[in-house]
Amino acid sequence: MWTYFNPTGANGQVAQANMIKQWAKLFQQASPGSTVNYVFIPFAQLDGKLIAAAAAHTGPDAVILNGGSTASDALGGALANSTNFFQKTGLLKAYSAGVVHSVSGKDYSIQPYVNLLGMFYNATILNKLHLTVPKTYSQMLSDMKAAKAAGYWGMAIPGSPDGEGEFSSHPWLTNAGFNFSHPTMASLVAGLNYPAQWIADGYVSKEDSTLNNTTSYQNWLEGKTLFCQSGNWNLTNAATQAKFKWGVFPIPLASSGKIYLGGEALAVGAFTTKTSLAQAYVAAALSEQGSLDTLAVGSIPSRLDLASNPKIASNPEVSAYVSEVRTNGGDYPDPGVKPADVDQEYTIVGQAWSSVMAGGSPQKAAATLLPQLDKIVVGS
Amino acid sequence: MLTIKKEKALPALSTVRATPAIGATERGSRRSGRVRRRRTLYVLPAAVFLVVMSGYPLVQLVRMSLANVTIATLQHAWAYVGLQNYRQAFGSPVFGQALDHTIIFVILVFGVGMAGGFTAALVLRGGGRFTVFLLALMVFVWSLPPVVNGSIWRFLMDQYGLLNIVSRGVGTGTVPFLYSPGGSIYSVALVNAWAAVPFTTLVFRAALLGIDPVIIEAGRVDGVRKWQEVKFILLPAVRPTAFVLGVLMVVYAFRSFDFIYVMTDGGPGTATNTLPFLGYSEAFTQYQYGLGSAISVIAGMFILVVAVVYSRSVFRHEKAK
Repeated sequence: MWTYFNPTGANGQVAQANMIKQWAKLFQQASPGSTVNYVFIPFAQLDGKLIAAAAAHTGPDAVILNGGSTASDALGGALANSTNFFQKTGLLKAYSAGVVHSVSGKDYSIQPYVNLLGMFYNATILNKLHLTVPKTYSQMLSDMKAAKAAGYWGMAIPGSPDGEGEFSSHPWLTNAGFNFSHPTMASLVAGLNYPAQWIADGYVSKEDSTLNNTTSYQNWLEGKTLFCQSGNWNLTNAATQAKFKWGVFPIPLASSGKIYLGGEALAVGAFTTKTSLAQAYVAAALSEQGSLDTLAVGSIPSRLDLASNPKIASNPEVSAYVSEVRTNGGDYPDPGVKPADVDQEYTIVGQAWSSVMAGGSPQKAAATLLPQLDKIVVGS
Repeated sequence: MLTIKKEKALPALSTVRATPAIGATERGSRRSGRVRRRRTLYVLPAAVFLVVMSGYPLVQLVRMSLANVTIATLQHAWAYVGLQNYRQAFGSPVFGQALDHTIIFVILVFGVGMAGGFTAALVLRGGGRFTVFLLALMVFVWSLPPVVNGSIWRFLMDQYGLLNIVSRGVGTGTVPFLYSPGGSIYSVALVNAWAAVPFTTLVFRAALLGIDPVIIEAGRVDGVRKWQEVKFILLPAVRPTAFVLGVLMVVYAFRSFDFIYVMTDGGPGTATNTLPFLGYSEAFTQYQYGLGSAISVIAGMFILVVAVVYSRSVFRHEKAK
C-alpha cells in the first residue's frame, strides 16, 4: 500500500497517520487475517515511482494518491481499471461524479473526501492588534498591513515551483478571471499581481517562494504570521500543534475564484497479485465509516449519504470549508487542461507563481507561461 | 717507416642497431601478441559491463529523444518524430536560461574548487597533528552524501538560519540566499564548490608532495620568496595534475543535480534550473520523456567535448612515456 501519508505521523501528519490506521482496521474487519503494509513515499516522488514500477510491470496492490494525478498514473499504466469493481460494489452511486476520476470512460479512483484551501488565522495576534476576522479581500489586506506594522508577517502561503505551488495559486489566478479554457495574458498578469502585491508590501516573505504546503504551515505554527493559506487537512494537526489561539475563515474570493476540490483518492494497482484484497481495502476506505473517518483529519467526507451528517455541520472549522465547496469549489485537475498534460501544467504554473513570489515580474512570468499553456489546454 | 692507417671511425652507439636473429623476431612477435590478447581478456569484462550498463541506456536515451514519448505513449510503441524534441528544446525560453545557469555553475565550481583546493593543499603540505585532523575532517565532509550536505546548508541559509542570524547581528540584514531570483544560483553553486574542495585539496596535496624537495630547497637557497616559489616552482610542477583535475571538475559541475534538487528544487521559479535539472524536470515531473531526453542528450554533448579533450591529453601523455 503506497502512500505519501507517513504512517509514523512524522512531518506533522499525525491526523493522516491515524486515519489510514482506521482504514486498515476497517479492512481487517472485512478480511480477517490480512494485514496492511503501508509504504511511505514522499509526495513529490509517488507518481514517478508508480510509473517507473509500471514500466517494470510491478507496483503496489493499492495506492492512496493525489486525486488530481489519477489521469497521469492511469495513462502511465500504473492503475487498474476499476469500473466494474466500483459498479458492482455500488461505489459509483455512493459518490458524485466530481470525485470519481476517469480517463477515456474508465474509472480508476475515487476520493472518499475533498480537501481544499482556506485561510487559517492566528487569533492571538488578531486579538492583540484589535483586528477582526476579515470577510472581504480588502479587509484581509488591511489586517495584513496592521500585522506588518507590528512586526509580524501578514501571510504564509506556499509558493514552491511545483504542483503544490500551483494548487495554492489557483484561487487567486481564477479570482482575477483567468481560466484554462481560454487563457489570456491580461487575466494571467492580473492573477499574478496578487502575490506581487503581497511581496511588494512586505506581507509575505519571499522565502515562501520555495516553501510547500507542509513547510509553509509549519512556518505559521511558529506564531509570527497572522494568516496562513492552508488546507482543511491541517485542521486536526493545528488543534494539537498550535501554541496559540487560531481559527479558519473562507478565502475571500469573488464568484469567479475557484478553489480546487483536491484530496486523496484510492485506486487498485495495475500489477497487483492480490486483486481481491486490494479491492477490499479500497472498499473499506470508501465505506460510510471510512469516509466519516476522514473528518478526524478535518477533511470533508464526499460520500453523498453523509452530506447532512450532524458531525460535519457541528464543526465550525470544517463548516468554513464546507461553505467554500458550495460557493467556490472547482474541479481538480482543471478540465480545461488535457489529461496527458496535467502534470506539465502543475509544474509550469507552479514555476510562474514561485517566480513572482520571489519578487519577479508578473508580466515576465505570464509571458513565459502563456505560450506553454497554449499548447496543453483542451482544444489546442 | 711507420705507417699509420687512419682507421674508420666506429659508428656512434646510438646508430648501432643490433640485427636480431630471424627466430628471435618471430618469438618476440608471438609473445607480444599473447600479451595483447591477455590484456584484452582482462579488460573484456569491464568493457561488457560498460556497454550493457552505460551503452544500452544511452542508446535508449537517444531513441527517446527522437520520438514522441509522454506519459500516454511510454508503455506503447514510440512514434519517431525526428528532431522535433530538439527544436522544441532550443526554442524554449527556459532552455536558454538553464544553459546560462549551467555556465555560471561550471565557472563557480571550477574556479572555487580549483583555487580553494590548491590553496588548502599549499597550507596543508606539511605534517603535524593539526594537518592530519584537518585532512580527516575534509575527507569526512567530502564523503557526506549530497542530500545531507544540501539539507544542512539549506537550514543554514534559511531566512532564520545561522548565516542570517549572523548577518542580522552584524547589521547586513537578511540575505535571500535561496530565494533570490538572481542570486540563488550562486548560493547553490558555492555550496557545490565547497563540497568539491576536499577532493581537489587531496589531489593537489599529493601532487605537491611528489615534487622533489631538492628543487624547492635549491630555490630557497637562491632566495626565492614564497609567492615566487608558488608561481615558478609549484604551479608548473602540478600543471599536469591541475589539467586532469580541471577536466574532472568541469564534468562534475556540469552534471550537478543533487544540491539543486535538495536546496531549491530548481526554484524560485526556474532560477536554479540547469540543463541536467531541466532534463529531469521535463522527464520526471512533467512526463515529457522525449523532450527531457533531448535536453539530456544536448547536455551530454557538452560533457562529451570535455571528455574528448581529457582522453586526448591522457593518450598524448601515455605516448610521450
